[in-house]
Amino acid sequence: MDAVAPARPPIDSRPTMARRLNDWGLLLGVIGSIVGFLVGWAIGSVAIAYSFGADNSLGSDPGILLGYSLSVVGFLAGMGFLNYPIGRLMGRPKASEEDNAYLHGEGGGISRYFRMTTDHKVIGLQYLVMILAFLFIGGLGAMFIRAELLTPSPTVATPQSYLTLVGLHSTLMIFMASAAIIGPFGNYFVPIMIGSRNMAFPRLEALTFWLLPPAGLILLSTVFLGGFTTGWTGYAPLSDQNVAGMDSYLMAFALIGLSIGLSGLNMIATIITKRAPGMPLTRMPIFVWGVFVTSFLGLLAAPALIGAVLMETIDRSFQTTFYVPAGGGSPFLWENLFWFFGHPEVYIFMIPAFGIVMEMLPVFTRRPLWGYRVSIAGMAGIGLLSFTVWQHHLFVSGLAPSLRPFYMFSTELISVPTGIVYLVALGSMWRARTRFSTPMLYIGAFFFNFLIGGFTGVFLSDVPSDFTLHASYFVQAHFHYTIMGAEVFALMAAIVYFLPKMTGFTMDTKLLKFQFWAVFLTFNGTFISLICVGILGMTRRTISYASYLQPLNVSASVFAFGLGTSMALFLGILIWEAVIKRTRAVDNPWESLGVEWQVPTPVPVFNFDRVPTAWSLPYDYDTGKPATDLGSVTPALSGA
Amino acid sequence: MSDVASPTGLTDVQDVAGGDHTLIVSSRLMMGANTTLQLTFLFTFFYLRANNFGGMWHPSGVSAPPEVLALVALLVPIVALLALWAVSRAIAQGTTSINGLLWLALAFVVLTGAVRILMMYQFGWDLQNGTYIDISTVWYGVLLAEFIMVGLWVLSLVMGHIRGTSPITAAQARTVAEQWSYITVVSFAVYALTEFVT
Repeated sequence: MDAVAPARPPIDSRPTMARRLNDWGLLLGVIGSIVGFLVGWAIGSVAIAYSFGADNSLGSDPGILLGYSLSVVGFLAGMGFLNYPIGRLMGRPKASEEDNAYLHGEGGGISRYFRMTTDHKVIGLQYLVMILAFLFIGGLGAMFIRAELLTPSPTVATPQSYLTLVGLHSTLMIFMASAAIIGPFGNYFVPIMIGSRNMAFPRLEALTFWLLPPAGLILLSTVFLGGFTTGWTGYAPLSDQNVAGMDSYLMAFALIGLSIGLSGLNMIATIITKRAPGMPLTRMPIFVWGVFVTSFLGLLAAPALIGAVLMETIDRSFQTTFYVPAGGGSPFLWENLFWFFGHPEVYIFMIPAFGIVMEMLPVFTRRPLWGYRVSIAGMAGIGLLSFTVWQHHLFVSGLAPSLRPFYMFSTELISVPTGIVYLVALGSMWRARTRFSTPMLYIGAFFFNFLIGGFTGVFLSDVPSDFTLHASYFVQAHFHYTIMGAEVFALMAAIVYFLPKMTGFTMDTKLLKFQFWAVFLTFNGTFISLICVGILGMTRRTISYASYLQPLNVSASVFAFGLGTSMALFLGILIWEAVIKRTRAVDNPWESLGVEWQVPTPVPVFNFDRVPTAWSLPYDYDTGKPATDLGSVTPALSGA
Repeated sequence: MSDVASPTGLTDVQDVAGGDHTLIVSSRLMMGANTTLQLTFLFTFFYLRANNFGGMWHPSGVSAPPEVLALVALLVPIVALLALWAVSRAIAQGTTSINGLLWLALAFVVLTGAVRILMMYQFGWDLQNGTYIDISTVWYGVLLAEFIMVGLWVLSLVMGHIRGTSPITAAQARTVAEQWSYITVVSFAVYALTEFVT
């Protein structure tokens, strides 16, 4: 590893034209996306469709898909993402240090949060805001669903619009869940935790974020194109038969896949090549390990999704028949490819959640993290096995009976490393004088909820019980227990825990404790009701149900409304405390030994002026020795 | 708990610049991701072929890729590949006058794209005529896109070097040659598959 002098004169206060344009990047991006969509729509609807003999009417699939594609290109061009590659293609000189610093956000003030920036901390906060916004929209969808299910027969929605609503809710939530931990906290803290001043590919990091808002908006635009009825899994042949709203799903999913894959590549490259001297892999914080393992999953699983989506878009645009039995294709091909991505995707949610929970645990138990290396092995084991279990999603639909035992066994096997990680994390709490600060409450709930999610999962990995429970509300409750009950609770813990470092502000702990108990009780009330409904045979994605199931559905809905309210309360407290009231936090409110708490708040633009070379694990609460001694290594640049 | 130790003997450094190491690691990671994508198409190929639903895998009358043009399309990237490796080796040995090699590599990179586009045009396949044609077309299309993307990378390196704004480093030359080699090998495999395993 080289030592590079970052000496550079202060940034010029007079912005160049390129910088002025960059400041208006978001507006230019919106204009670019509109122009791109119109151009793509026109070309796709007329030229391409006519040439290939496909439907050449306006609103056809080639027109919509090309319109979406060029709208994304236009958006990125407006944001300034093409400046660098075009400049390189023309052999122009590389950007000056000064321009790079400006792009990094130095001296940019609040405007840098609304444009392309290469500062991983700004990108982390951009992720956080976007994820909370889309989770809020997805949560509203859940409220509508539960309102509709108060009665056994349709009331407000039609079956078609109900399915679109379910699909929108689930797809949006899955999209955002895949980035919920890594997006805000991985991007913000991994470089700091490994002693780096930046990510390996800062522009790529910005790109992985700025692919997501277009993806979310494209998905939401499905309501103008007739919606889609497949749910988040997009199963063929329904996806082939759907109206143009399906194109929104496909385009959005492709963008998400691209973002996940590129983000994984960037994280791995950063962790492997940008660690400070003196930090071998065995001294990396456990959260960084979680991100590291997850990044491999994203990098290797996302291409399968992109390939599958590509074939589906071509099926819809040019009448190929990958998934159409009449033309020699097979809907099961989609199921295989989708779940080859989809099951590792589950662990893309969960491993960073475990990582961040284990990162926070020692701070509150005031004890070293127990079984550090074992938990790394557990996470790696989960990652490896996650590629071998996808066909358990096909137990009922079309898997050859002879293959069922293997996939049942591999699925049950994955509970071993998962259990190891779980028990190791619990081991850190053994006989500890735990401080039950607010984040610790959410962490406790994480373990409780994940336990139920894990136990219900065992039934679904078992072929006979899966035949009974498949496609029922039992499955729905199971994955809500793991994704919402575990990951979203980990997210809330992390927000409360890291907010003082990320923003310099803190949240009201009394209100949060009330919010915690409200969200914990209503969450369990909702999904225990749905477990019961599922066992009684209610299938998911249906707007009507047998009348004897109404009491349990009413119970689920009432608890769900409470859940929605308590989640809104969390958002309200966050906005009130961090944006309006701006209650200042102390420097290290949790008395953590992690390096992220040793750097000043706000974190300087380039994190460290000089990077320390002597590091240890940040969990030595027996002696109180911090991860590294920043001592004289004081940052020179001030952040905002 | 690990002991604190500084392997460098220094107490701090100004920055950790991954540099060449970052580029090489990332290139290999990209190959890993690309392998998953290729395996996706390989799985699709054999899945549809094995099931042959409705006898629509390879209906009679559908021809495999034209051999002569396909062989040309395979040989041209090999010449580009040799030129790229020659550039890489020259830079590693400290040779400074590599402009001729760079132009040669760029010329064959461009020719690769042109020949492969011509080859796909010559297929004359009807996309509604069976899944063999569907998967083959998509696969050849994806490989074409990959050749073009690496080609654009080569172009950017050549332009920077020729204009003197950004001389090619040994790591850049090596990684671009590795990526081109990877895609060339995959294109050979895909050709063999679509030609002989119909």
